[in-house]
Amino acid sequence: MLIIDKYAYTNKLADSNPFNKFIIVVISLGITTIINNIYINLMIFAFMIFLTTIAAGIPFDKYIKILSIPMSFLIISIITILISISKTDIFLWEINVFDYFVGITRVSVDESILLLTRVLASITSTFFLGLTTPLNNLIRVFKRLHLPNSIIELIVLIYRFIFIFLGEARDIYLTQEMKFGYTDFKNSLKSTALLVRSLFLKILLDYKDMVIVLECKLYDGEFRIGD
Amino acid sequence: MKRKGYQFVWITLLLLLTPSISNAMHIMEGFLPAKWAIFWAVLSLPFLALGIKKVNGIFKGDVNAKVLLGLAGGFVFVLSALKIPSVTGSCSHPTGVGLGAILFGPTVMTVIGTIVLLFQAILLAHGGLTTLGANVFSMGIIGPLVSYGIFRGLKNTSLNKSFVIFLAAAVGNLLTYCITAAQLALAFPDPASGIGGSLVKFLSVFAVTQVPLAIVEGLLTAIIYNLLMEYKSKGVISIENI
Repeated sequence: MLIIDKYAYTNKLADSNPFNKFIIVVISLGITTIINNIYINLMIFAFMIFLTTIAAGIPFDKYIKILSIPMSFLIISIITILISISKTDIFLWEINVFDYFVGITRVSVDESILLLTRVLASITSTFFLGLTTPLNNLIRVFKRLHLPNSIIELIVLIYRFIFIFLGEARDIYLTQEMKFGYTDFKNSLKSTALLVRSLFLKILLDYKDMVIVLECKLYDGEFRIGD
Repeated sequence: MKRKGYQFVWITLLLLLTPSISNAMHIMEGFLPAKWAIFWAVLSLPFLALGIKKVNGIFKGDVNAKVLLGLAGGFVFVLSALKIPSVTGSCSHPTGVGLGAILFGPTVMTVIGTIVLLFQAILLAHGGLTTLGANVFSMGIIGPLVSYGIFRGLKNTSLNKSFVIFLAAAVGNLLTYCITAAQLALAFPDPASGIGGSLVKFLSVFAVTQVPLAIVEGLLTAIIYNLLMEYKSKGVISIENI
């Protein structure tokens, strides 16, 4: 259902040691954010692409598609950082609007290039972790990191319910669309609200059912997770 | 150095690009420099610890609350993955934290919000691990606190209840976006006009999608709340908070 999660279970590195993968990603994230060198960032970027597409065997076209998800944010933010407005002419390249200059400064160009490489390096690192490590392996890492037990239990439960609700939401959405529920703005607002309400009711009903099921299984307040 | 032709090019470029921001609420992976990433993470930690303490307390009192909170987390995640109708033509994502905070309380939402943001970074490629602290601060702490505060503060006044819910969700969403803009401005001050100028830039660029989005989320939350109240009045469900 979620493409990243699908690849997390089916890639060639899915069963490899999650600690090693986690440590690689933490180190590369640390290097990119702390050292801040364009060339090191580009090297990490290339290395992570190699690890994800060749070592883990994720199809390149799908990988590019996943990478492009957050790119609109990147483009917009970088343009915002690049352009500045001032009364004096301090720019490399500018246009004149009334009394003001709108343009690009040397500082912002340098900063943007550094930012671009840093984002590329760290985003490929996180994607490497997300695309190659199934959640049950990540849980083992979280256990080793001594995260509070209640948090780990919540993570597992939330992960489980996400897919149930996503399926549910998709079914409701399809039904509504077949009944012309999303033809105009007012309609779609109403349909979305009905969808969310149905989902919420489903939660409460699921909750009642699950409590009964857990009681039958002699649930004592703790889910035993991990090794 | 007057190049009037370029003005037109820039304006069209901006108009073409702006509608394509669909998920500007989260700061993407690697966007913040190390010191700001650490700063926001450290600032978020006490709130998260408070939330965990609260959650543990709830678990001690009622063993079944774990299941309920798990379900709530799944609900918030799906809400944030939903595409909701937006006025600008692009599809936008609601934060869902307004509704969550009203139903479950703000400290609990901090814990759930953190886990949901973690999943969004790993499963949906929204947000990131290094920027988790900053995103938790805006979406998991400020948003729910403001929504819950407005809801509690105005609940028993003579104001229309639907309007109170609308206000709580919309203002919570708007403030989340303002905090995100401020976080970006602090990390990337404008070379010509400083942090202030940078803040104005980020606020105005993201306002194009975020202001209509906040209004839509407010409307949606109010409709959902009314639908839920209908069920409650007929005795189908029981919710303590509302």
